[in-house]
Formats: sequence, structure tokens, C-alpha cells
Amino acid sequence: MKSELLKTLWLASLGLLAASPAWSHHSTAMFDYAKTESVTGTVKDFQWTNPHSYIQVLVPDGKGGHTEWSIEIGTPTHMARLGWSKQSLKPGDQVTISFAPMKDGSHAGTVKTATLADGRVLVGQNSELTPAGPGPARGTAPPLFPTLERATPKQP
Amino acid sequence: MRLASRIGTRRLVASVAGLLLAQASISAASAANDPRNFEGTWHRADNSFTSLFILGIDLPYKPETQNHVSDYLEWFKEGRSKASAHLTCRPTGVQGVTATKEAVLFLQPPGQLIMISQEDREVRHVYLDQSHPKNVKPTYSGHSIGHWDGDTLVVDTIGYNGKGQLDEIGNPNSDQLHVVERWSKSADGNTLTAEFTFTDPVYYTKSFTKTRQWRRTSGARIADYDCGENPRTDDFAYLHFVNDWFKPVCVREVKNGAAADKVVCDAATK
Amino acid sequence: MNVNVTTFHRWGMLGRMGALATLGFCAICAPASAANLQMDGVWRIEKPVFAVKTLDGKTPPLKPEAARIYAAHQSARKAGDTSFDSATWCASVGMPRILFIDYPFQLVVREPYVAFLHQWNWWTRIVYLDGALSDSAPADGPPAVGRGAAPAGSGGTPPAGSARAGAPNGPPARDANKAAAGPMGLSKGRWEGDTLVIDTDTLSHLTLLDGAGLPHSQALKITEHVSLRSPDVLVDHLRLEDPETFTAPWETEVTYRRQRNGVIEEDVCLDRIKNHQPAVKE
Repeated sequence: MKSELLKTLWLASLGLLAASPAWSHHSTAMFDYAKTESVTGTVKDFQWTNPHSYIQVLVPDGKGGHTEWSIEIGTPTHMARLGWSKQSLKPGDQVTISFAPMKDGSHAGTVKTATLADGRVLVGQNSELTPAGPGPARGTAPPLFPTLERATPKQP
Repeated sequence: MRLASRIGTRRLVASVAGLLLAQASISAASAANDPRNFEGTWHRADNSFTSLFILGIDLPYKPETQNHVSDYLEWFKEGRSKASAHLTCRPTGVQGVTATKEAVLFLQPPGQLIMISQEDREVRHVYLDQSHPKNVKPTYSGHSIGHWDGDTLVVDTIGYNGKGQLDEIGNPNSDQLHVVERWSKSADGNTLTAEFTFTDPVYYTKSFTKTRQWRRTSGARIADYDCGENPRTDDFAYLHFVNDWFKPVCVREVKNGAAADKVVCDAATK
Repeated sequence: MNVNVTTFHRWGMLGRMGALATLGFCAICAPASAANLQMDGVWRIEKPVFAVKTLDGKTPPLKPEAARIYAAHQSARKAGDTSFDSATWCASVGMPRILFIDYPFQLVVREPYVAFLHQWNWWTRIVYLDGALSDSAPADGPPAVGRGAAPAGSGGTPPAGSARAGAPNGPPARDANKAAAGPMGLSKGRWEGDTLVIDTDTLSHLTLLDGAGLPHSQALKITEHVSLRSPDVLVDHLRLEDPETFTAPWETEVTYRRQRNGVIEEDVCLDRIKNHQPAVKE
């Protein structure tokens, strides 16, 4: 009971930082985990590489053209444990991706789920749907980083 | 006469094979029980979020050092980081030892302890019963020697090139850093404990010690982690480059989500 | 390497017990362990390979599409464009190319691991012998504090056994070792007498077979027979099978010379290319 309450409190406090940052190469504070956005489009490229893999997806812009989005997923060694592989996506595939967007509004984000054309759903390391078992703990939010006071004030 | 000797040889070979097998299993058991045998695969015991990023913020800082680290921590929380060896796919020195994220394989051939880490990808040689060379060639990982103090392996490292840092948020170290580690194995053989004592008179007022532990995870694979496989500009965009050391030479251009097909190396540096 | 008294004492308890047991019980058989240990040391390729050839000196038998790709790579290189070669930006040269380049490696023979510690960009290749990899996941150590830990100030503590299989602080999960492809791949080995037989697969598609630009697919499987031709010469006989790239399996052979007193130095490719040096010296 208590752990459920704590989990809820932590999920609610999820603002700046979130799951799986230790295994992402860069600081994940650039993503807004409190939001979930979704795009549906055609895969332009699936970069199954380190330090992160990327889905480059072309999303119709409603004006007859496309916008390209970069959706990051984790390093292959971690994603393989969640069922991803180099064959998961290829250019031309239709895909719907839910993701945490960039705070700066650019056409990028970090994946929460990817729904493939055949209906299969692949989850990312940041998904609340991450199954128990291999992979990071579900619904875990890390403690916020501490603050270190300066020894002397900043010079103006 | 010949038949008898053939039977005799077969029996001899069979019994020798049996004895060798028995010896092998006794040897394996004694290897596991040997307190000085650290061989095998291990995972860091405390993989908590902050522990992997931060060695500590209670370090004996000089005032200027504290100011810098305070700034780095604020950058980190804002989603930007100081460009570092770790973030630009180079050997990381201290961080690569204290903050292993995945499996680590320890091998102990005669005269060495070798630590092979998956992420960050590192290889570390500790040369046993040797001295540091007179003029150590500075490297990211430093030069490590070790000797036994009872069943504790004492590792001594100097020769850092000064381009590394102690952890991901940016606790600094200079080329004067001297690290002494004391490694020991638990009685049941399943936990390694290492006490790290850091001395760096450039940034800190005195020595300080941090302890880390690893749990045995037999059978783990050290997978390939090629950090530099795909140098996208969006991976570098959030970094503060405080100097030229880590600025990339070859990049795949990514602008507002659109990724280029090719990685291009700066023509001027080819 | 002669097993003299000094070496014997430096072997450590395991080695000494093994050697004593073997000598004591089998005076007539050469213990495999002592012969295998002779492979330990630092090795350097005798004739660096830029364009790998089969045993009879020919270009490996490419399928038509692969031959087109190879030709395209060669043209690009002639025109000064090496963007087809990820090693240019210090991505791993991978297997088997790391065996062909002029950078030394240290061979470490242990039980049940054999490690190739390459100098080039500090890459390692671990060969897992019988017993080294485990599909099942008994927890070796007690459950550890990990990412399931309650946040500071909450008053909670992680439940016992919270280090689940597959969690970074827990034992490897079932199939966790059956992981993604990588540049060095997954190498499993066994001893056949004094020869180390290695099977490597699970290789990433992103590397080239050699500096000349020979392509390969993720289906590539490599079988090596590694042995000592003489105390100071190591031979690696490779068989490559890649039905998506080649019309048939083919073989090649490389030899290495022992570097007595050799030491593997730290090599950081990214710093070399920043200094206008090539990523891989040819």
C-alpha cells in the first residue's frame, strides 16, 4: 500500500528527470517526460547504433509534405532485452510512435512505445509499460539531482 | 604382449583423464575459494541513478573547484553537460572504474589484473609487483600497479593525462591525481569491495575516500558497446565545450530532427 | 615460454595446483594448460592485410550485389571519399578486420575465457569457453541496492530480492546474453589439443571486412583455428561464411610475431584523427 502511494507520488513528481538515464549517453533532462506525444508516419531510416539507436520517421505535415522526426531509443544491447532488433523497423514501414518530446520543441524525442504495422508494440526504456523482468524498473523515478552551493558568488 | 600393453595404456589414459577431471574441479573450487582470485564477471552493486553520475558532492573542494562543480551540476540539471571524455567516447579514467554500468570481467593472468568493462567501454591493466616507470606516459586511464597486502589488493595509479574527470557531472581531476585502491573479496566470494582514496592537490584540499562494491554475476557476457559508432550532431548539441579537446572531427548532421545520410569528417582535419 | 621456477611461482595458486596435479598424475601427457599458456603474450601481425585474399591469393567470391558494393567502395576511396568506411570516424573496425591491421594485441588465456586485448582503440574480444556464459540466472550475490530503491526521504526500503534477473544489479537474465549484434560479435571457443577453435557470429552489419572495403552482412560467421607455429609465431586460420555476401565460404590465414616485453599502450583513435593522423594506419 505504502509502496503504491510512493510510486504515485514519484510519478506525479516526474518533471525533469526520468527512468533509464544512467544508460543513455547524454543527459536525459533535455526530454519532457511529463508529456507524451505521438506521431504516425513512414520510417526513413532505422539507425541501430550506439550510443543510441534512432528511428527517423517521415510524418505527413497535412500540406502534402513531410516533416522528419528523430526518435531516440536506447543502446542496442539494452533494447535487445526489450525485444527490439535491427530488423524491428526498415525504411518504408508504417509506424506509430509515442514519445517524450524535446523541451526545446524540435522534431525529436525519446521513445515510449512503437506500434508496428502488424500491431505489435515495442516498448522503450522510458515506457510505463516496460514489463517486469529484464530492463529498468517500471515506474521508477530517480531522485532529483542534489544542489551544490558555490563557495563564492558568481562575478557579474 | 602388444595387446596387453594396449589395454594397459588405455586404462592408464582413462584413469589419468579421470584424475585430471577431478583435479580440474578441485582447482575450480579452490579458485573460487581463493580470496586473492577476483576472476569472473561482476556488476556494480549500487546502480542508483545518482551514484552512477556523482562520486560525491561532499568532497574537500578548494573554493574555485566548488564553484566549477556547482556550475556543472546546474548545467547537468538543465539538460546540458560539460563535454567530457565519457560523453565523447574516450577512455574515462576514474569514472570507468568507479561507475561501471554493465558487466565487468576481471582476468588475472600471472603478473596482472585486467578489468574489462562493457559500459563505459574500458580496459584496465594493473601490473602486479612492479613499480611505476620513471617517466610515465600520461594517459586517460593512468598507469596502475598493484601488490597484495594480505588478501587485499592495493592498486596505485598515477600518470593521468588531466583530460579526465572523476565522475559524469564533472568533479575534476588534474594530471597530479594519485589514486590508491584497496580491493578485497567477501568470505562467500560474491562481493568485491573497493576503497578508493583520491589525492589531487590541484583541486582538493586533502585526500578523500569513497567505497564501491560489485556483485558476482557468473555467466554474464561483455557485449560490444561502440559509443563512437554514430556521431550525430544532436548528441553534441547539448554539450558545453570548455576547450577544444573533445570537439568532434566527424559528424552526421542532424537539424531539427532531419538526419543526414553520411558522416562527414571535417575536410580541414583530414 | 619455458616453465622455469620463477614462472611457476608467478602462476598463482590455481596454476600451481593444476600444474602440480598434472605433473604428478600424468607424466606422459603434455598438459593442455601449459601449452595453451604459451599463447599468452603480445603479438603483432607479420604482414598487415589491407585487402584480404583467400588462401590461394584471390579476392573472395562475392555475389553480384556485394561485388557492386565493393566496386563502389573502391571508386569512392579513389576519389578521396572514405565515408563508406565507419572506421574513418573511429567506429570499431570490428571482427575480423581488427586481426588484419598493424596494431598489436595481447592474448590472455584463462579458464574459461580467452581475451584478445587489441591496442587499436582499446577494443577487446572475449572468447567464451565452455561454462563462461550462462543462460539461466541463479543469483550469485545477494540482492543489491539498485534502481528500484525508494527515493531518499521516503522511508521505504527495497524489498528483499529486488535485484531482478536482468536488472543491472542482478544476475543476467535468460537470453540476456543473446544480445544485439556488435562489431566484435559473440565468440565461443574450445580447445582441440593445442589449437583454439573459435566460432564468431552476432556481428553488426556496420563494419567492413578489410581496409579495401569488402562488405559483409549480419549473417557472417567466422571460424578460427588459432595455434602456435613456433614459440614466437602465432597462426590464425580463418574460415568466413556469409551466404548473403559470398557465393561460398572461403578461408584465409594470418600470422603474428611475438613481441617479447611488448606492452599494449592506450590508443585513442578520436585523438589521433584530431591530430590529422589516419584512424587506421595502412
